[in-house]
Amino acid sequence: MHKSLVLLLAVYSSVAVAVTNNVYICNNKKSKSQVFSAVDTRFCACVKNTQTGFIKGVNDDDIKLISSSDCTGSYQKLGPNSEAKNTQWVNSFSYGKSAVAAQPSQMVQGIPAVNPVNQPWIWPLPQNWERGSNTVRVSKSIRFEGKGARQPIVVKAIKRYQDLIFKKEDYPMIPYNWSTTDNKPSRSSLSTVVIDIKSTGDHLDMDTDESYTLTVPVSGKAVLQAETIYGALHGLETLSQLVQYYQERRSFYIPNAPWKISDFPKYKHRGILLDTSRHYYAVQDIEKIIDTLSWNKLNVFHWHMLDSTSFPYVSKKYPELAAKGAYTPRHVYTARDITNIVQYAKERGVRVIPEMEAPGHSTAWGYGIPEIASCLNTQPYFGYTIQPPAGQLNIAHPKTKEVIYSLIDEWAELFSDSFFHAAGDEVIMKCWAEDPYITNHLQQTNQTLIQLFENFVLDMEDHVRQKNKTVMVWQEMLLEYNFTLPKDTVIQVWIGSEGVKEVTEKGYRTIVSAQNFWYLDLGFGRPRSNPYPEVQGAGFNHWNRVYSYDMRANLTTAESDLILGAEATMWGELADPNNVEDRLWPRAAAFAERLWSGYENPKGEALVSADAILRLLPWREHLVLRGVRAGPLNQGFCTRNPLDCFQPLNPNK
Amino acid sequence: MIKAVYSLSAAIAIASNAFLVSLLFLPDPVPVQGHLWPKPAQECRGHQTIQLANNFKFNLPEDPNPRLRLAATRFRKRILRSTFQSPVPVDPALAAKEDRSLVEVAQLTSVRVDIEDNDSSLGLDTDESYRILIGAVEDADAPFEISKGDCKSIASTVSSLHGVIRARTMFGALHGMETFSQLVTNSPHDTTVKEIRSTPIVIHDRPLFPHRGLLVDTSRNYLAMTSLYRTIDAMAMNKLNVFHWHITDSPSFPIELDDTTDKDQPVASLPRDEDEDAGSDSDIQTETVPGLPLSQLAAKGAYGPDMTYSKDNIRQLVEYAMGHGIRVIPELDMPGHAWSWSRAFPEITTCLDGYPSYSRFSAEPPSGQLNPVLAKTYRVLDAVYEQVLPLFPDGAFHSGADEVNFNCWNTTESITSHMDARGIPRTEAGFDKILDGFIAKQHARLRQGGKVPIVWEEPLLNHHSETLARNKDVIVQVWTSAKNTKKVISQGHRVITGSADYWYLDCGFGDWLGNWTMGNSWCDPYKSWQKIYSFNPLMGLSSKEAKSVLGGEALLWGEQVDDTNLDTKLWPRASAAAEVLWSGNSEDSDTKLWNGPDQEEDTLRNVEALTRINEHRFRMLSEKISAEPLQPLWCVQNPGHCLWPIYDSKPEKQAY
Repeated sequence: MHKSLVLLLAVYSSVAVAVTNNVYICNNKKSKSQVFSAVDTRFCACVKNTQTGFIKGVNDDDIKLISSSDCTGSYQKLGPNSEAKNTQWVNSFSYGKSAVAAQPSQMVQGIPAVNPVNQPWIWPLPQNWERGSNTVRVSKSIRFEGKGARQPIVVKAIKRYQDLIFKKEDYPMIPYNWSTTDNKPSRSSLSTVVIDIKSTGDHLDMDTDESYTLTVPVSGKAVLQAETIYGALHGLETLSQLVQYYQERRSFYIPNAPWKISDFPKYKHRGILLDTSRHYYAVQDIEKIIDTLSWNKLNVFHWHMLDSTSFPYVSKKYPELAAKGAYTPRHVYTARDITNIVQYAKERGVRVIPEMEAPGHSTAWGYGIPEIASCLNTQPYFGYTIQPPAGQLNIAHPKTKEVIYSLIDEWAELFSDSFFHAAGDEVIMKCWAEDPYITNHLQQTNQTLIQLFENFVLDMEDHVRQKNKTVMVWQEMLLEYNFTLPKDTVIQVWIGSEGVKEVTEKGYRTIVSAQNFWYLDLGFGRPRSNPYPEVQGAGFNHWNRVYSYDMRANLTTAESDLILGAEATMWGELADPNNVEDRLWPRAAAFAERLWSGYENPKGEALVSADAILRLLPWREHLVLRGVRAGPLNQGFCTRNPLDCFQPLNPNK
Repeated sequence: MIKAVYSLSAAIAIASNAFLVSLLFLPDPVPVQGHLWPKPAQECRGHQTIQLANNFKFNLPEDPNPRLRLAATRFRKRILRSTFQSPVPVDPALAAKEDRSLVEVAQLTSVRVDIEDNDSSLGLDTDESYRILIGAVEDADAPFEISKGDCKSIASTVSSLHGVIRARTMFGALHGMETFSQLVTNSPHDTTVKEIRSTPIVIHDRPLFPHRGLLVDTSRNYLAMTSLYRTIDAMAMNKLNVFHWHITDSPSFPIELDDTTDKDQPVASLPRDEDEDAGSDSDIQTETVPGLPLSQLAAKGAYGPDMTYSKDNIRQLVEYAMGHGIRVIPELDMPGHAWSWSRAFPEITTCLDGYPSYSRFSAEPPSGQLNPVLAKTYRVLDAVYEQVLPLFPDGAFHSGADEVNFNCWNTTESITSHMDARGIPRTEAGFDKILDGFIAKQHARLRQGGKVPIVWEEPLLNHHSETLARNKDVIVQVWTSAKNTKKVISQGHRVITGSADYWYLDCGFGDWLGNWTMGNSWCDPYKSWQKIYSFNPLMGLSSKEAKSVLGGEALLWGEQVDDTNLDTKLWPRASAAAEVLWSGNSEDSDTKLWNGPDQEEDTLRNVEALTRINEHRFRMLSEKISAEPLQPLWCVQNPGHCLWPIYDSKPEKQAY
């Protein structure tokens, strides 16, 4: 009988310290095969209605071949590491550890491309981890003690995590527990975590040590050690991800104890850019994004607050800018809003870097103070700006510098971070070249437009430096205009991945936002309405493309070392609070792991997306459980049976 | 009403100045505020602004249909509770013409709803037309349509504080109430003050196409009932009228059905294998048919015990949809796309495969098809239909039949031996015959349940189905290419349009297979609203052929969609499709549909539509539908400033 193939497969954990028993079955021609795994447990697999003709065990224990379909009745023994042919009569077999009773194996079809339990369910993956095979119950009244647990920021974090640790779902989309190794949890339960932090300060900066170590023993106290409170925050997040809800027992457990994790980020600067000018986000919307950043161990919120479309910042000195430039009086950020957001982010280990978008993309400044703008809302806009509305700062007018320096002064106070983004992107010369004020000024001062432009931006950047800030700029400043930027300037690459090479070749430090991989806003058509239907096809960077981009491509080691990190961008043309979470997550999570975990683990083994998907799927479910509207990565069947949803190497065979 | 008329005469006395002013202007199709989506067939607007009384109500005909009564209550609440403020500013040129002298004194206290036919059955033939008259009176037998020409025959000033919605059916009245709700605007200073601007108003409206659908897929990812209800709400706001519910597919089977018990049935009525001995013993007239554990379809085939639809869930949703003027057409996809049936009934399914062999048998994992040569298959199918068909009162039922993989059947021994025994060659033609055998039995069962079958295009265009050749009433849904519309019509079938090249809302999000690093979605690119709006369902058809086009559907397949992002993927892009189907996408007053980019005078209406769809997106937001933005807010606030700049050249020609 050549019946259709219905194969049942157990997907179970493999553990460093445990022994995996594998069984391979295939048909007589060996044209189809299947692997069954069991770790420290014993399973019964039903292979009724399959074309099984050949069974081979790679294991330490016996396999029992049985003609009934549920491992009952008489059996024929297959010894360790041996094989049997012509096994069409076999309808079930039990395999795995011989000392325990066999349980029915999970109904998962297909052949695993990779072992799903090679890596623990922690996102992003820690650098070093060891795990055992015990299961420890977690007390709901878990306490955090030690000097570190009394630091104010940590106290607040503990309060948050006492809630986040105990999130449960009664019918999760991933019902089987890939990490389980032991169905008999230990008697003791984890009720105390000792937090030990070396530094007492709460200074947060690019060079802040974010490393931590976390040990969870089978009995006794867990210990979280870190150099700084920010490392401890990451450790708490990792701890929260170790805890899983066991629906059948109605309690929370940490499987695979004992755990030993020692972790640190590969890149220091791990950010998301959010554009709050093209669409406005309320303070709570921003805070929710910052929460989600911290759960993904991202540490930079690049706030692109201003642009041509609106000016939401309420300046102390120039309130008219927001009064006339914001979308409405409600669509604004006051100094107090900013202070709150900066503090909120700091308590989550996230730096807030403001971007003073200038002198391009500046229409909205001109509504409040018209004399500082050139080509203000020129119609038709084409030729004066990349996208509507037209308007740049008038770089010749003395008032312009006065206004922008005042704003820099205000922001330097409000944003405590030592980085400050001075923009400099996408200016259109025609806007200035046709402004009589500027042309007159050029004549009077006998300089060229480019010289005026260079002087303006270098003066502006110097003003930022005077505030003890490191200046970040967009790549055009260096690559298009070749301005003489001091070597301490950090260049943000955005146009394409080739810019990374060009910037680092020149010896500048860089932050990578290559739009062909890490722009998360692309692929949704053009926001301008056209008289003719027009669709921009390219551009959507799906999670695997995001994950797979290697920013070190074609770089020397010295050049690679100049990469401080990266930012994924969420420009605002087609995103607002209604869809931003689906746009960001889980793609920004894929990005986050690259920056935290890097491209290789400390043993030098590459981290690949085929493994990552097996952890990203549960992580996305976890984000949804925490209230994030992260879109699904694939259909539910694939969330549940990820091994069945791979692209075959040769789809036609 | 008497009171209202009284207050109006007072108002006119007070506002005689305004009366003179407004005489200077002729009625205009463009209102100051209260833009409509979808655009009505004909709309005339005056220049006076009146108020809506805060005890406003709809006056229904005596003894109204309960559904109509519920709808009137719903719309009344929505209008009075709305805090919606359009982000689109008032056009100063229009505002200059506005006469606000009646605002303080003229209040509309009620709108009378007249319907000719109190019947509430909803189907393809339902008359959905309506006429709205605000601020004027007319004879009850005045013609429905505004006389040809334009709005000149309509008075430009308010002559009465009457409001009437006339419709032939309650479903026309529902559309009329939706339109009315969009006419009412909130005062910018106080949202408890409701205004109707640019009155008097005469609107005559009817849909271009009777089938205006949205496909939602609840098999690939489960959608909660609240998401489905919210989708019905949003569809009604867009005058869509068909909820194509793709309930089952390979990944999951979410409908809860009941086990059947053993029962005796006449032998002749039973499906059986052709080579099965029917029993030469003439004494046996009945046979005991064993019960089928249909509950296991969801118990084993759904994603989880909380991810199913009970019969009550379905009945309530169908009733809710009906109350919103929306037909629910269910689809149980088969005989392909049927892996989920195998969890409960492995014996009637075949080639159940995951990685890597699924790709031999289906476009995406998991593979699995029904086995068309086994009697058991039809016994299960009959029993499922027996329970499912009565849940859906609609006269149409989608029978699926897309992407059937013959390689699957060709590797199934029971099927090949069945074919060999009957001398059916194992060729494309032979398998066409096997597929047609399945469709014949399936459609016979659907017709027995009073349903007209709908099929996807393949049985007709690829598999030469004889059942379809014999039954021209079967409706064919085109999905691979808009070009196929003409082919379907040439074979004598009615057609539903909305193919992957225009109206698939799920395209452009990359490949979702776990290891495909740089894979794109198969139907790239993403369909922007502009692309969706440009679709002409009748492109390239003669006027005779055009009669066979029932309409179209926007489709959102579920691979990368669940409750987290359903709204943003549907809206407002599906609104663009809704307007095309309701009133077209063209300035051409005869055809209403775009004649393509190569004509001397291009008639595409999308620049005009942009302002309205931007506003409609915010209107949906105010009704708790998370529609996504189409432009930066600046562009919404500055209409006409965010257009493609080179107006005279054509950035990209669309090839049909």
